This record gives sequence, structure tokens and C-alpha cells, in this order.
Amino acid sequence: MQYITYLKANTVEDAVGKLHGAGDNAVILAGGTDLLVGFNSHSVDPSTTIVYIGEIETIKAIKETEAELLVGSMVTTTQLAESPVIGRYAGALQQAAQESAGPQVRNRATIGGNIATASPAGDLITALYALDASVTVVGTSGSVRMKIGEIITGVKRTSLSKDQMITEIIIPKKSPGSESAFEKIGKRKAMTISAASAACQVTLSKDQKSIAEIKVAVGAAAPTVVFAHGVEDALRGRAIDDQLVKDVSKLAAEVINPITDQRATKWYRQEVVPVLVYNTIMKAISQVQKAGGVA
Amino acid sequence: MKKQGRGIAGCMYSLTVMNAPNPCSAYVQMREDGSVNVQTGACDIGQGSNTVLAMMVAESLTVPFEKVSVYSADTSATPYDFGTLSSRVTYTGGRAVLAACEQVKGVLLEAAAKQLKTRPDRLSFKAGMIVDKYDAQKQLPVAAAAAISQFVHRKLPMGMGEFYPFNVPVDAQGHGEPADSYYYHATAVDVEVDTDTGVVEVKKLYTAVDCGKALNPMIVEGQLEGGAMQAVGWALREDMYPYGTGAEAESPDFNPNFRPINISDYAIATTLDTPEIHGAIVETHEGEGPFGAKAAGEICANSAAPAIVNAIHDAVGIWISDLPATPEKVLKLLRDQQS
Repeated sequence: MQYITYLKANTVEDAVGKLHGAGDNAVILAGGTDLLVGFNSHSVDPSTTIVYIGEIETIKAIKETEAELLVGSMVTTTQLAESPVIGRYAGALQQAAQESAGPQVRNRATIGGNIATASPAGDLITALYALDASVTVVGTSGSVRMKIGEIITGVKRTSLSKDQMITEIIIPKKSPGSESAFEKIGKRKAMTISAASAACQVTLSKDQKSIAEIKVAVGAAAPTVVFAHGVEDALRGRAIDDQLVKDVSKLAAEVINPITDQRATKWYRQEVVPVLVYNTIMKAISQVQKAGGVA
Repeated sequence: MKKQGRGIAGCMYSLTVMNAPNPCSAYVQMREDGSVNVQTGACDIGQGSNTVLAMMVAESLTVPFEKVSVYSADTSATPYDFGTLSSRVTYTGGRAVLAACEQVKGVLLEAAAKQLKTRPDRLSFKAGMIVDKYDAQKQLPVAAAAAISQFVHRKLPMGMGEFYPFNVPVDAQGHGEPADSYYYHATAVDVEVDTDTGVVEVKKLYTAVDCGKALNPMIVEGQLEGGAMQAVGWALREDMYPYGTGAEAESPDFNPNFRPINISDYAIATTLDTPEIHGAIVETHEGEGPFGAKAAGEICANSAAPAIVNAIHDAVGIWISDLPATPEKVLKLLRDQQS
């Protein structure tokens, strides 16, 4: 009888080596909140090799440089939800972390795992798109850095090869006069997978009267998280105007391609995505104005 | 836009099973140390009947609550009960254990009368003592009476009680008295309806039950709050339907796996979805009930949903005729209303 192989990696290099050795049958175990649920509900190929990365200390911290936040891939959702640095520079990510799952899952689930699982309903991913995050991926052929959108290619699909692992998420620190926000809708307020989500980062002009730069991402409404470029283009450089934001948020419905599933119908997702987009933009704008931070 | 609304609803509920015999039975025995063993089929499914039945036995026999052990609902060992349904256990089980306690008291009084050289009808139970009503010098601890009865007079202090709730089955003409008694409940809610997303949030919930005498007010409060949360859940979120019969089946994108097959998709309310709850116990005296009690179970989940539906109508003018009032249904009705 063949059993699943379990290997524990002590360093990133060790993990990559073990992944390479296991070939196509390798899977990475981090927090296990997706992987093990899958193991419990489907039969597992006995030739699977699990490489556990939960004891690699170098990828468990949130660090900052002058211009960037460096988030280790083993950083848990709880760490993101509680970190003052994340709160200061990446509000959307913190809000997404706080609204994700429940305390027990947040304690185990990791940011790297959320990305690698590549669910279109991954709340952290939506926020990372809006924050223009990049990801460092390490494999036997070396280390590469790519945009979050380049990693995620479809529903639960990534461009990662079997011997690659995510080690770090890089988030540019927001400039003064800039804030980000996240909002989701689900069946209840906790322990719920998003039926739809939106995140944005808005930078206001120095006089705080117009929108200088904006990024808008929508989750759970297409095979991957998508940018609402139409909304961004329609608002960039425009004076802040509640009605205008409300009107152009409707453009978000054009880039999504929602399905009907157990969480919501296609119709509902199309109706509610513009509302979430509008809410997050207005929330971000009001936070900049409240902070009074002038660039 | 968020709009506020307020709604109320009231209801009545049968207590004991309607139109059918639904007895409960119990054995009660006092041991020689004054502790009491109660056996009954009455099943505690979490509503607290073991606690309340023990309280009633303790009150009847004037022994401390801690001295009473209830062994319940083991079909191979405990005497018959109809089941935990129709809000009948406190009422029916209470009457059964009290009937058994009367027999235990009869045995204890006989023994005490012999010991105290008096007559049983002159004796009464008072805070753990059996006392001669006309000669306070003559008194004996209840536990001593139990030991004396068992070892001196060779009579075990035990009883066997049963209770059949009253009903006259309703006939073809609709005449009859379906249930022994009825109890009442009302809910008032303040809700907030998000007209952009269809999300309904219950902000405040007031719940009141006429439970007869509240034998254990803490448990009644638990029923009020638990029932309210259950009702908020099925009013707003909890939904189940057979394969392919949901409205979504008409969609060209219909997913054949669509149905809540996992508990994770059957979204019961979490603490974060809990409104501010205010409970009120409206005590009345039910003449036939044990110590005046009626019930406090199922009804606590009954009037919140209609109250919420009324509040949604008050807030935005739509009528939900098919629960739960999911954001999707609410939004659709709001769109229909606009067009």
C-alpha cells in the first residue's frame, strides 16, 4: 500500500529542493485551510507529496522598507488583520483580512496560500490587486518577481510551476493623500465566502478636490479578480462628485463575467458589484479627507 | 440608501400534542440519605427539561436541588414519554414527576407519623423537615423519614406518576378542544434595508413570551434569545430546497450542483449577525400546569419572521411572501417596485 509522503521544509531552499524532488505530485502545505478541506472531501492520490512550509521562520514576518511593505507568504490572515503597519499602508488588505472567515481560520490561513489557491472569491487577492501588489516566487531556476495578476490565471489556476513557491508579497506603500478600502457581500457577516467583493486605492489631488489616481478591483465576479479599468479611466483626474462615482461605478458590471452558484445568481452579482465599487471608492475618499493628509 | 422600518407580530401555540393522547410517565424514589432518583422518558434535547424537572422534584419534596438526579430518555430503562415536541415536556413531564412525588410524600408521611406518634394528615413538608402543623415540637428531617420508612417500616419511598394532557380531538365539524393549553409570544423589530444591495439587517429585537410561571427564568431567557436568533436566521438567510427547484434553475447559467449541500453554504447567523435582543417574560398562572408553568420552547422562534417581514414592508414597501428574505429577493422586489 502506498501512502502520502509528508516532508517538512526548514528553509525556502529546502522547500524548493523537496518540491523539485517530488515532481508533479508535490503540493505545498501552509495553513491547510483549503488544502486539507480538499483532502477530506475528495480522494487523494496516494503518490502525493506534501511539503510543509509552516516552520520556515523567514517567511512569517511583515517588514517595511522606505517604499514597500514586504509580507512573508506564511503571514496569517490574523497577522494582517491586526498589524498596525498593514493598517497604515494597506487598509484594503487589512479590511479584507478582518472580514475573511472566522478567527480560527484566520489564525491558520496564510496570504501565500490565499494567492496560490487562486479562488476568485479570495478576499485578500481582491485587495492585493487594488494595492498593485507583486509577488516573489522562488523555484529551482531562481527567484522572480511578478505582479499578482500575472500569477493568477483562472479559477484555482496559477502560473506557478510545481517546484515554485511564493515567498513574499510586495505592496507599494501608499503615498500621502491616498487610501484604500475593501467591501464584500456574503450570506452573513462572518464565516462567509464572498458572493462579490471590491477593493480600491484612491489618491486625491493636493487640494483634495479631485481624484489623481485610482485602482479598482472586483472579486468573485469573474474567473479571476479583475480590474475595473473603465471606472478608473472615468474617474482619473475628475473632481470628487458622489453622483459621478455612482454613475461610473456601473461600468464595473461590464468587465465582470459572473456565474450563478450557491452564493448568488449572476443577476445579483451584476447588480451588486457597482454598489460595492461605489461604496469602496467613497469610503477611501472619505478616509483621505478625514486624515486631512495633504500630499 | 439605508431605510429603517419597524414591525410587530404575535402568535399562539398549542402546548401538548393536539388531538392525540400524549402521556408522560416518571418513577421517583427517595433514597435513605434523602437523595432522590428520578427516571422519566421525557427527553432533554437541550431545552433544560432535566434541570426544570429536578427543580420541581426538589420543590415538591423540599430537598435541595443538588440531591435530585434525573435519568431521562433511555428507552431501555426509563418509563414512557411521547417525545420532545409540541412544547409539552415541562408541562407534561412536570405533572408526571409531581404525581410520583405525591406518592413518595405519602410514604414518607406514614413513616414520619409513626415515628412522631401523630397522624399523617397533621403533618406537612417544610424546608427539608416533616412538621406537625399543630405541634411544632414534632418534626423530623425528610431524609430521616426516608431511612426510617425503608429500614424500620420496610416500605420504600417511591412513586410512579403519569399524566395525560387533556384534549378532545376535533371532529369532522371542527368541534373539539385540540390541545390542553396554549401559550403566546410577540416580537417587535427594527430593521434596516439597504436598497442598493437588498441586505436586511435586524438592528433591535424585542421578544416576549407568556410561559405561565417561569420556573427557571434564565432558561426562559435563553429560549427567548435562541429562538430569536433562529428566527432571524430563517427569516433572512437559511434556505434549503430540493435539487433544481430554486428560481436559479431557470437561469441559462444554472449550475446543477446548486443547492446547499454543505453546512458552510447553509448560513446560520453568527454572533456578528445578532441584533440587540431584549427579552421579556410575561408570567401568567396556568391552573393545570406544574407550579403554574406552561412552556417556553418552540414559540420563541415563531413571531420574529413575520415581524421582520412587516418591518421590511414598513421600510421599503415590499412584501416578502417567500422566506428567507435574501438580499437577492429583496433587491428584485425593489427593482420591480421601481419599474
